[in-house]
Amino acid sequence: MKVLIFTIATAFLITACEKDITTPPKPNETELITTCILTLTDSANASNVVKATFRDPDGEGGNAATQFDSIRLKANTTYNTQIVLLDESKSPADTISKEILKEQNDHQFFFNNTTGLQIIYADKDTNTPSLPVGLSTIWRTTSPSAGTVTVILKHQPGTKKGNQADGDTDIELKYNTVIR
Amino acid sequence: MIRFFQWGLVCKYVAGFLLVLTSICHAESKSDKLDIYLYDEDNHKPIAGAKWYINLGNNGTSQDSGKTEADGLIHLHDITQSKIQVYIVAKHFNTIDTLILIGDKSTIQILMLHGNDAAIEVEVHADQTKDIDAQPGQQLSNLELISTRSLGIAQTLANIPGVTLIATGSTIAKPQIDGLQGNRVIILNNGIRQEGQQWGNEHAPEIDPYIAKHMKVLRGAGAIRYAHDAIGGVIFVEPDTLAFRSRQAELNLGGGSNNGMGAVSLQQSSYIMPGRLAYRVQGTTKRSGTVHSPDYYQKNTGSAEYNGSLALGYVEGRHKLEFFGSYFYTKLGIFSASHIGNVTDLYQAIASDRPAETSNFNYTISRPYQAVNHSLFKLQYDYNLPDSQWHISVTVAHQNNHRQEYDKHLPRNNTKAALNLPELDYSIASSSVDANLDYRVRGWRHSLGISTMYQANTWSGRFFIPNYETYRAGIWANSHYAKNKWDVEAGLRTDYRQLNAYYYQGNDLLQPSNNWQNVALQLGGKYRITPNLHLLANVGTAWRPPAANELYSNGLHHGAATIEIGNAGLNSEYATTYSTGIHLNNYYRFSADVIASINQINSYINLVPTLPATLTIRGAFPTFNYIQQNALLRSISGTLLYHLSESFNLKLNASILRGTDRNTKLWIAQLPADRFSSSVNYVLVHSRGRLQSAGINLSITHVARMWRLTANEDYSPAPDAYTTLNVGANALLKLGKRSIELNLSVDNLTNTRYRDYLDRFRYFTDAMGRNVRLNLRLPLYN
Repeated sequence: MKVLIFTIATAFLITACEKDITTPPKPNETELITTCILTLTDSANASNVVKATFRDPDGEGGNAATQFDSIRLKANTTYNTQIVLLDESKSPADTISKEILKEQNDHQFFFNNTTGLQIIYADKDTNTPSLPVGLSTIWRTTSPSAGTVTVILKHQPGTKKGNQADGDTDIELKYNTVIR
Repeated sequence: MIRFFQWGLVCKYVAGFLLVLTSICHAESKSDKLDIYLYDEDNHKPIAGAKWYINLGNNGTSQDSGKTEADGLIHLHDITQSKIQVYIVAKHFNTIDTLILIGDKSTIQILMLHGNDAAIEVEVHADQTKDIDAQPGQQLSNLELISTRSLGIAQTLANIPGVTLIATGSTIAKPQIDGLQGNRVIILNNGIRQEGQQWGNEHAPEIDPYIAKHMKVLRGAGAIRYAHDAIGGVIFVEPDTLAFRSRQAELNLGGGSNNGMGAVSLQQSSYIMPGRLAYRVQGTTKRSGTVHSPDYYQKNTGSAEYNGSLALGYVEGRHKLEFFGSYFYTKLGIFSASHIGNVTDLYQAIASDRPAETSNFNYTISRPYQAVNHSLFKLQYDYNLPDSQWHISVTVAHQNNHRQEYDKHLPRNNTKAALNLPELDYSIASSSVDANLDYRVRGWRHSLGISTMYQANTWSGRFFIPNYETYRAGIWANSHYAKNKWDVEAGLRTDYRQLNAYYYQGNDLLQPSNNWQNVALQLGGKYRITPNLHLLANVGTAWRPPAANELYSNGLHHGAATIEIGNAGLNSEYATTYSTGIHLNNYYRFSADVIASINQINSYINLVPTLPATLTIRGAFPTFNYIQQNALLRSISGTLLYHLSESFNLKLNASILRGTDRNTKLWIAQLPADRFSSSVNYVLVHSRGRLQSAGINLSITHVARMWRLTANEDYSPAPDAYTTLNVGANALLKLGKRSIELNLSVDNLTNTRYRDYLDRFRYFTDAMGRNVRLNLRLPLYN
């Protein structure tokens, strides 16, 4: 009987050990993309630079996004476009786009745009056949128009085939776009 | 020891600590009346005041109960069944729980044995589920239990009219009582309040169904003996009583054709010191593979479950000590095509008739999946005062629940992905102490109890709900009076609860604290017009403070592709349930159990969509906020049985529920659609050779379309009505000294394509197709 009580008491004690509840983890320890910056440089005039930023410093949920720029472009112009992704919840900020480049065989940007714009991928990954990543692209505008460009980043580990429908969505930003 | 003196009966089950001598005789003709006389084995005097309960052996929908008068007589008439389950409790005697086969004799005698453990055992058992007559409740029959438990605990409970399933695909389900679920339904697992992460719809109760010998549901508010917050009701999951004087072992096997499910459960109960020290050990293992809808396999829907439990009981004089420990582990694959990262993907998945991802049959469980373990330890001490009128019980319990959810979406960073960590990881630990005092005198039972609990929740991974701790303390009193045709019960309870949460907002650590205190009460009565016709009426109240997720959740619910935002300003819900019911037992060939109830819930906490959608880097997500409404739920549900003949009966089950907001008059979402089932049952009346009993049934279930919805509140319209056809057969075979119970059933016989409104995966896939199930119960020795 004593053995029984001892065993039971021990079982209770062992299971009673807890993590400290008064010191919760900081929620930002998980990986976040807080910021997406598009930098479009006129290929004919390097001083004509257009920047369009989306910024949600605390990530999904919580506070709303603080910045979501429109893209304003000139008609009949060719832009060299770079995408930079940041995690600004960390200090210093993490450059997530470097990670994407490092794991380029698993990621791809897709651009769904309304008329007046043509987008050509400038980069390719090391896969066979090689597929674009989309961090670096060439955007050619035609006639003046207004619409949207949806920038989509898909995570497609082992399934990258150039299909937008595959994989998981890491980014889906619908930028208002004006071409004049 | 009890002995049966007249022929024409066979004893099958025995409550634990009894030894039974069985006498077997194959009767040629069958009587429809039976008089059972109870005598004291020592002096052959009749036993008055023994409580008895009769369950019809095969379909269990009819029950009768009463107390013996001075002559110790239990008089039963209009018996249509070939066997009846008899349960007799009498103070100072061992409890009798046995199956009687009705033969040609109309009178039998049962000699009851004195036992030093008996009085305590009777009290304990009676206190748990049998005595609360005034609040409407229904118990599952043995057949319902055996034939469905391989599917899971919620699926087993769904045999009770008014209990429906909130499902997340074919493998995850939680019970809903009259439209209420989650924190509003209390599950008492062997007397201990189950404490897991029950706030999530995709969090199924962590209980091994094979441990249950009895399952019962009390409906509506008012179960004040057990909880102050059971607005929907209380579910009892009770294991078998310990066997202090006999040794038993049984093997349960379950199999299902649709998903290659196989379950094995072994149980052994025995004693170490006769009458003093007994134990029961039990273990279950279950595997299942990919679920098949009529046209395709639902990729990644396999599951694995491993459970075990140990019970020890020690009796010395008037003292009784019982230990119970159980462990539950499950790994559940989540249907791949349901795990959605963003709204565009969600609408794409909903729009397609066929899931984007299907697979072949396999047992592999890959991401997304859940891994959950739950352990429970309980120590209960009972003491019967010398005059046996007073009874004290103290219970200490501890539970740990660890839930890990692995998203389909691996971390973007390959190094982090390689660690294969869960994206959501919650641990909840709960410790409780409860004490009850019961006093019985001349038909009265007065009870007084206190109940306390401490709970701590911690998380890691992605934030969804904060760290929190809860303190609870309550005191209650209850009186029950039973005499002649009346059963009356009244109770009062007051509780205090504190919840302290800890979370970061930016770099600031917030530590909000909440206190609540309120009162709940119950008043109920039951009137037996005749032994076969009972009326009952009950009014009860319950209150529930907001839970941590309702107050503080804030974030993206992956998989659901919604953003859920808690509301720190929520108040407690307060519910009042009025119910009335009728019970008929073979009354002019009719048997019925029908309950009508009105549940009025003030400050009902509801998660509703709010505009605009939240803009995130992954697109705009539908956003849900917690609001409070004044809800009014009206329900009627029940079973009607018509005995065409001794062998044939027709059965109708119906559950109808309406829920509205009393102020806006709008329908409340997430309530079950109207549900009807009818069946024709054939029961073999006379045993033939080895076949002791048998039955077959054919049933049709019809679930209406859920039309009571508010526009634009859901991603897609409610699915169409559906009808499924099921057949079943059961048999009790005698092999040597053992009786094997066999059960074969085919669910969704016609392989009908359908989707259920309360299944979250209805957006993505058809429900399970045809499933042939075989269940077997084999006593290894007894």
